[in-house]
Amino acid sequence: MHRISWTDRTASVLVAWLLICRVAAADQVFDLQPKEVADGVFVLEGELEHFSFRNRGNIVNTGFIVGDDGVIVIDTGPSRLYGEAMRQVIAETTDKPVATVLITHLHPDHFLGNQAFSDVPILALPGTVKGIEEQGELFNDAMYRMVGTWMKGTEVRVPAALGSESRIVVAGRELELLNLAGHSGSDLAVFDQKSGVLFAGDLVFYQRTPTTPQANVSRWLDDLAVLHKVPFRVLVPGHGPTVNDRRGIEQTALYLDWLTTNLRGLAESGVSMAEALEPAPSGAAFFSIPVFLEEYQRSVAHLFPAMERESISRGLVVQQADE
Amino acid sequence: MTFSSVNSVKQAYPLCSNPIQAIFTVCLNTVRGTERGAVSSFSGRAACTGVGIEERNAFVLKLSAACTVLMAAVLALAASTAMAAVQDQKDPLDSPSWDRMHRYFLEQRPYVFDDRVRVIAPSNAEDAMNVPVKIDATAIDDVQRMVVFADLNPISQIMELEPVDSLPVVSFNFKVQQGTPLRAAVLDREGVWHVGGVYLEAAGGGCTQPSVGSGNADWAAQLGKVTARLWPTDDGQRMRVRILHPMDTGLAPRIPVFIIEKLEITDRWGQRLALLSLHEPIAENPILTLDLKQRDEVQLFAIDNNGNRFAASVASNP
Repeated sequence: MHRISWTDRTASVLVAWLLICRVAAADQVFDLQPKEVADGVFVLEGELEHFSFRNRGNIVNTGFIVGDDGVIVIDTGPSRLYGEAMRQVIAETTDKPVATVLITHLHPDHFLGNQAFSDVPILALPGTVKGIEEQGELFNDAMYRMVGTWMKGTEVRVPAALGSESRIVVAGRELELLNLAGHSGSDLAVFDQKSGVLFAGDLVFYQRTPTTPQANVSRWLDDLAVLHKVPFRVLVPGHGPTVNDRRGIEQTALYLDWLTTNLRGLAESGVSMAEALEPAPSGAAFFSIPVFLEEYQRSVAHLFPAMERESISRGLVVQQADE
Repeated sequence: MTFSSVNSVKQAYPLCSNPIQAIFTVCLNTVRGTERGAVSSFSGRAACTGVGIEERNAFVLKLSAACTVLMAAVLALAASTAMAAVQDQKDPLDSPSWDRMHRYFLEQRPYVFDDRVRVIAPSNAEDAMNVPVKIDATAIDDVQRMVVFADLNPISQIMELEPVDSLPVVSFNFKVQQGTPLRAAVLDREGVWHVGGVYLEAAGGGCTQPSVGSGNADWAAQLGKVTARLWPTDDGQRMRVRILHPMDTGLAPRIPVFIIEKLEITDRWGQRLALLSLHEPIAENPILTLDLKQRDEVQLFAIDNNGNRFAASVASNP
């Protein structure tokens, strides 16, 4: 008896110690400073960088809305540790429980913190759910490779699918859901009517060069026109500082327009893909935006192949039958 | 004494760790031999040139031997200086595989690391199955041959170009398996390789994936389909050609090597303008960009390792 109670006590101490360590670890890994962008609406701003060991994957904006009787979370960040740190920040900001998590799209920096919210509904557009089912593990692997040990324990948690409703009410808050697709094939923007805050997801980048690995740029430009009409007072981009006007939308649209017009022109003039890696002077206005060169060159890899195929196919070829 | 004879000297004296030492060893032996009055190599050569080894000609022989030694010494000095400049360089990309690359692809000929051979590629491979590269060696005169390789790729050799009557410039795309030095070496008229390169970061995996297109049911019907286009340039024309082909590396499980091996570009009369050898890492449905010195219709011929031949002629757009 004596021995068993000793073991019990040790075990409970151990469990408590592990819990403290776990919380402390998340807390030490990320220094998340919630910024109140409107009454009861908070944003956790990430670095304007690429994933790295140094930034621990925190290159993304996440946010939360404190509603009447609960909290709505928009995106959960790049890892389990980030998600846990975010949850802790929420707990330090309000006593209200997390009611729902909304995931804007399938990219890893936006949903890999889901494990920290496994006790509440996590919702995303059906296209996003399908994308995470199919590509989530690949994204997770890529994140482990780029970010390293800060990813430890991170596993893919697939969200549940939203219905086709364009409005939902959560925690007494009426949210307009915009079902868009230009950035990743399935992009959710969330407009909180009461505060006037628009969470644009990665349809808007501001002062951080947009990424295009799964983009349909013409569709994206259409989506930006839709966002332009939303009567928001505050816009939270997926990456970059929150703004009170349409600058972020306009900068994203200008960049994407330049990117595709310029690359298509190069392809049409016979420039090779490697030659297109050197950005044209016509894009000088964007050169000083963080990670411009990296993202521009990645975009060449994403967008140029289709353009050059199209251009080359317009040559005059007579092919002989196989000899 | 040329660089190649320096190399043959090196081969004849394998224990000499560098060619300079080899040359001095030869010279030293020559001098010693002359002092002894008779050396087989010299007597042999003397016999061939019809000069008898007679007592009264000993003075002439000694003089000629002395001249030869002097000449050899002068040449050796010149060559060794050049060789020192050429071969004692540190690999700017600090690759553990450089010596092996030199042995495999540069025929152990002398080389010089030379920034004028420009290798243009992204610093990071966004798509490991389709990394864009341009090699520009227009700053080197009389390029005989160009070889492109990636030290740490499982199949290092990517392509070769003989720019017979075209500029020593080529763009293509390739598959990368991991971060690696990416190099181009061009052989000049003197038989010296000029080597340029960059380091390519890559998450990789590009060489062990099956080709994408051969997953389609009708891929065989499209095999070898050529699209190409010509653009006039200041002193000729640019050709961009795309050939539908899986370019399977043989490194994906149960998918044999299936690649275009040769691509020849000729003028309308069949005169060769450029010859390319392609290897496994060349990207699926390869797109090659060449700068030709003429501005007329061109013909192209390709053959793959299964013996399929593809031929097409390309005319300028009006």
